[in-house]
Amino acid sequence: MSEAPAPAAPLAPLPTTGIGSLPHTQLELALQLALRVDIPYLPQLPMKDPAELMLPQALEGLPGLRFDREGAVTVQLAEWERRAADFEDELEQALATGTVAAFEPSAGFACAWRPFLWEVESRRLPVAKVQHAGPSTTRWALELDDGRPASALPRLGQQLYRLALARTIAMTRALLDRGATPLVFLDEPALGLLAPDEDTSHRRMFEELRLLIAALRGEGAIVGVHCCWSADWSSVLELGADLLSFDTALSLPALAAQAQALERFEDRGGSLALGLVPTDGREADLEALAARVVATLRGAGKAGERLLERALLTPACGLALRSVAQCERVFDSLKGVQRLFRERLARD
Amino acid sequence: MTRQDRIAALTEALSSRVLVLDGAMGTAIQALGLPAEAFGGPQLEGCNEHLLLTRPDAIRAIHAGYLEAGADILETNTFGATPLVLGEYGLADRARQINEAGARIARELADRFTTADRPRWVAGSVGPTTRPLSVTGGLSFEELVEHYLVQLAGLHEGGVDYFLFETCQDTRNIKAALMAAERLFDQGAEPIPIAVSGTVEAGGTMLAGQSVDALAVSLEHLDLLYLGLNCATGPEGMADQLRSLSARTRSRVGCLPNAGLPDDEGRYLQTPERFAAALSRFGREGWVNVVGGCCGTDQRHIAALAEAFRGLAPRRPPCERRSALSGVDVVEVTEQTRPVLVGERANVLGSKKFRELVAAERFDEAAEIARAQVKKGAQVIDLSTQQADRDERADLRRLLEKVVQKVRAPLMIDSTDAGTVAMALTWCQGKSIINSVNLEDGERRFEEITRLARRFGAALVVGSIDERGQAIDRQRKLEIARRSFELLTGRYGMAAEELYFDPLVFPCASGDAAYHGSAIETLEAVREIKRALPGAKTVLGISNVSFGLPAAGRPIVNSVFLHHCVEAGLDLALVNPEGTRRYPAIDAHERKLAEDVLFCRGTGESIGKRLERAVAAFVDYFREHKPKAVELASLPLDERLARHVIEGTKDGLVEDLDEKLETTPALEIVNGPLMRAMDEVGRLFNANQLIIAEVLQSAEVMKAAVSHLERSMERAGAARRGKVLLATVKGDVHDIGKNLVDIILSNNGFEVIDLGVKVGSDRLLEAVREHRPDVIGLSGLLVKSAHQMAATAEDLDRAGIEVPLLVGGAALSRSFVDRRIARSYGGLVAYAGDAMSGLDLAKRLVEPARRTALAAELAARRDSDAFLSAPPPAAAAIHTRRAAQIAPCPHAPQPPDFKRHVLEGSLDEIWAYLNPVMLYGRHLGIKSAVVRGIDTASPAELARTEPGRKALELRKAVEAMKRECRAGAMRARAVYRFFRAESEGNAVRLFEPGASDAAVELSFQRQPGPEGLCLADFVSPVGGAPDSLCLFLTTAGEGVRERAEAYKERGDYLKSHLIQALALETAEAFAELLHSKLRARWGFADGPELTMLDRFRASYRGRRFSFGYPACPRLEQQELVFRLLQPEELGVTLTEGCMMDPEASISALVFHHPQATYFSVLEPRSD
Repeated sequence: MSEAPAPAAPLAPLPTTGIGSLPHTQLELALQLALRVDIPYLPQLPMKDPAELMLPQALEGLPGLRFDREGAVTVQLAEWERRAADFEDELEQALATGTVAAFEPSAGFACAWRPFLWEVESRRLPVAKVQHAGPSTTRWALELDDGRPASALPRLGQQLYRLALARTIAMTRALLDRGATPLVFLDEPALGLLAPDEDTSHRRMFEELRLLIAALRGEGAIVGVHCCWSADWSSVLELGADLLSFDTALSLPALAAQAQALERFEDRGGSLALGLVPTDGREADLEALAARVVATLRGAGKAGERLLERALLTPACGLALRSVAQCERVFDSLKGVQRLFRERLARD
Repeated sequence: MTRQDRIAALTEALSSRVLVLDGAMGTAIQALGLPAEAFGGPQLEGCNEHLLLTRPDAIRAIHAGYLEAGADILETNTFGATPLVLGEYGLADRARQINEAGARIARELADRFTTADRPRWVAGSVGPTTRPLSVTGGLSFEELVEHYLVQLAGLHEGGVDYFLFETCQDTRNIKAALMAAERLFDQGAEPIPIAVSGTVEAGGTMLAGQSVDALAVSLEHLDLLYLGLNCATGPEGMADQLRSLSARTRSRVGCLPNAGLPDDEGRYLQTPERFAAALSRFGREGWVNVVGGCCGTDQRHIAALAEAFRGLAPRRPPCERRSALSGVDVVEVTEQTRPVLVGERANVLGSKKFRELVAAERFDEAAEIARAQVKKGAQVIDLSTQQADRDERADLRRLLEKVVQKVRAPLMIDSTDAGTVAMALTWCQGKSIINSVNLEDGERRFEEITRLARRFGAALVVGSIDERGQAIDRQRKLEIARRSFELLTGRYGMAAEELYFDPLVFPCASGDAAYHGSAIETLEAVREIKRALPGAKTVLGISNVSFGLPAAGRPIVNSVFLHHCVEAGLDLALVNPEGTRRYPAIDAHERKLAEDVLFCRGTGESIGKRLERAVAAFVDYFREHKPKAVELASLPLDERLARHVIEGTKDGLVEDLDEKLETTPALEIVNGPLMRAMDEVGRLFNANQLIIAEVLQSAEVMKAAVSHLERSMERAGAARRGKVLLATVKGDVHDIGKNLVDIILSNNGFEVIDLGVKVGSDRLLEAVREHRPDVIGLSGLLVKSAHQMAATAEDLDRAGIEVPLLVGGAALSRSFVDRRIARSYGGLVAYAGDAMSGLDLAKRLVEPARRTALAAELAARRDSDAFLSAPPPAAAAIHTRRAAQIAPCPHAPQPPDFKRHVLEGSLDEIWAYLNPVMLYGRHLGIKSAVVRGIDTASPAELARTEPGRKALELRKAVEAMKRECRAGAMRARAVYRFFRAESEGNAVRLFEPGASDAAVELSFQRQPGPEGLCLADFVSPVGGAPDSLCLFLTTAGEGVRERAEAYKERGDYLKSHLIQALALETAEAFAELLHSKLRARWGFADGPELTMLDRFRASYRGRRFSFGYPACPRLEQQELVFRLLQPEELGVTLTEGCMMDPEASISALVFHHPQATYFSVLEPRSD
């Protein structure tokens, strides 16, 4: 990770950002909220259109894709088989020549994408965050219309990886083109379900993810992995990502227990995005929360201390299923936590 | 303390706390075990009221006991003290004396217990008598009024603080009591408040049939002290009713339950603690203002109640009005339910058969015509017996005697004679509608009829006629409507929601040149009236339009005209529901012939010529043809089955189903052609091609089909998987979904107990206890049913039920189930998206191992989704000091008026204000440098580069889309209103004209620091110069989502995106244009030198701000903007999440202050 790209402009310590989804159905109001945080992010609006749910949005363009209002995704085999070769040609052409712009999200699947780019450019934002479901998660969640998992078709799995690669590179380049350093988060909740040593398919998924991260870093993005479930953290820390985003209440103790892996991660310049403000209904005692997180990370030694100093702060997860008022409160709380963290670090 | 002082104190106390009434009087008297002599001898034993004369000490002691227990209000011991009831004891002539004594005794005790900080009040108890007029009859309305008058006079004389009409079982009796009170006050008695308390039986209705909703609608015209419920059940059994009442009424709400249900020996056994605990839940829910006890309650119950309600806040009654009518049943008149169909055949002018039956005095058969209309889909019945050669009033009275027994729908009383209308209204339990008033004789008829309307709570049809005659063109129609509206809502005290404007329908082909094009004028008048008169509704007698045309073609013209009227916004349509054809089912050629006549289309230099030719073509065609019906027999079988559902016809349905059964299993028929047809019905409804009444007819056909097929489905044998209790929830009669689930479960080994429709919590609880099911299935179609399911789940939970709950229905979503229903219920709750998933879930629920897995699966998802409202973070110290650098405006400009204005914008005028940078750059992704050239550079210049060529293509596509929009794909509308405004600290108060109390107070955040800005700084502070602020809302989103979806379906993704982007920017451009006009209205119009670029840079005086943006980021206050502007009229609604729907809508607060500037109250980003 020595060649990790540095942020284009310095950010004040402990910057805040969001995870992705918001409950809004009015694009402009969602954008206003997503622009309030220190690292503005591309809002996903699944309540406006289920095409903006994590999986459909990531799989836009896949032949035979179908999705329902809950975000469950399937592939119509007959259609996929008919168009698979053409799709592979498109991917091959784009990745081989680097002309990936056609893989940017369309307005039908990410209505905020173009307005967000416009805001990035006109506000001259130094860093902007986007997120995209990672290939492990799409492969895990996608089913064929005959009920089999996507993994039953290795050719389809390969397409999922290449589609994620083409789309995230396209997004990275679009942000770079607007003058911002891209912060690309790969949303990988399925990592919690995969153990890299379990079987070859799991190992391959981890390998693919590692390759994807390397490719994006090569494009100039800062790359993060977001996993809001429990996971084999030592393996996740070794993926080569610049940032690891997680729900602190759920995973911080388990993560901190991986002292050696954490130290290697920190040593390579890695940072943590601490999912602090609960989005699951737990009433947050922000003081206690801050104290607990600081104590846990400091307990992980010097690496923990340094990771604390350069952490990003976020809500614990996406907010699409909350009300707009709740969502606003979460972001208010996030600002409050940021103040507490800064005070605590300054004091100590 | 005078009585008026006490009443003022009572009103004030009701606004600050929940008041406690006393408990049962009969129970307390019974507990004394008085001998017969105490009542005045064996013949008077049981006449509790007579004790007021024979044993006043006993009544005093009971009152004192309740006051000591903590009651705020005593009820007089006069429940049965009308001469009518006392007459049964031979005491009719002592009624006044008894009532006066009852009031004096209670007054004496209340005064004795009153202290400076704790007044006590007296309610004059008036029972329902022994004669509910609608049920037993036996005396006339007028006689009943006289009985009540005697009682009220005695109570008033004795010093009660208000009249309480309680245990009401028939709204006609309530109306008689109300009329008696009015008469008493007219005779010079000092007016005092009135409260009404109904008794809803366990079956969910009052004895005379009305539900609590119907009761509330019937009395909503009154300024009651409170409207409540008493008796019948214990508090638990009142939850459903009270929840409905609280949601419905604008009055305060009272609740006086029995001490539970009586046991076999008639004893009420609910303990005071349980009674108070059950009632206090209603307090915590915010449903009540007054509580107390009825049968079986005593001092201990009242003491527990007083304790339980200490510190609980009273209910805050909502202030918005709704348009609704009622008979025994309620009909809401909303955007979702319109057009409400009014059956026109029970009218001597509308039906020859009816006229003949009335003439023959065969009123029972005449009333059958009214009933038949309801069966065919009429929701309101127009009644008229006005004939020159007969006694209209006598005929109508005799007809009403029969009609009220046969028809539950609201009635429209159609008469020009005020006496006849007055008589008719005494026969109606509910909120009727009077047809009609107008200005033909100036205001005479307004004066006459509005008095009746206000007395009986009736709505009014207001005709477009004035002293100059009938209005034919739209301007005159609107002008008369406006004048009538102002008079009726101003001088005559009617609410806008009670007015139904009739712009009049004229025969479109009468040959009279005055009526050429009159159908168009009527249509446009409907549109204009809806726009111009907020809250008011419209009504038309549709059939008039086709008068004079061949009989065979009249239903076609009527149906086509109705379709266009509904599109224009019509609320009530007088039609013959049997003769109405479905618009999509009308042959295209016949539809065109009808539209040519209605809209005077075709060739010809003048409108007269065009109409003449159109009528000739129509007449020629229909002389030789009957209206084309689709030849069902010639269609393939599946299509025939679908047509039955889509057209709502059962003719031949059974035969077709039987034919299909020869090759296809019944369940497949249901899930195949029938369900697909219902989907099509839904699509046609969404496309405005079907009206709600037609959708319900289709549902009826579907139901009949399912019911026929059910016989052909083999039920599984004795092996039972489990027992399922099914019900459609309270307030909903739609049971197709439930019936499907029943069939599917029954055919898969489940024992199903179907409780039917409109099942309240009580009935469900009873059934659960009786049948002990393995699963409870709840279904419902309506949006309100989703909330009812949550309420039902809550009631089941409260009763300790933990049986798994399976919920489904059109209005439910998985997230609603997870967030609302599952959280209200301790047992397992699963959502079934359709009948087949219901089967799968039911199977899992009855197998222990699979149920555990399902529970874990659901819990895992809900745990990850759960969001209990977290409290907002501790607020930073807020300061409210006005920023010194913003000087108050010494001479604030004054707007020309404070009226609400609704505008229809010209798209081309609006697009002149379109910001190309936002449309092409922000939404369509053209680079800024290219966007700047898009409207200035030549095409050739742009075509030199790839981005330029792309921009050119997009501009072409945008222009094409604009052409579609001009042709009707987009409509831009706005509403704005100036308000008087003042600021105090961080708040801005807005005032209605002439009001001293603020209509709303908007609270804003302030930037931190001593010079921090707040929007309130841009408004004059309290005591400063008179100031104003404007609110507006623009929208260009109507139908855009649907069009975008349709383009997407067709694979035209660019157009799908273009129309959405164009709509968003059109709403924004309209905001810019409107803001410019508002500056002019304030008196500082933009100078000619101001360019469009200057406008986009806000280089003008004042600013507009929208909620959700940095100066006022909190979205919650959108609700206040909506309350003041009522943009629902434009089709814009506010979601629970404070999002505007449709999306392409902008709301804004406009400030004129010269120093107004954009700023952010948010903490700056850390970059």
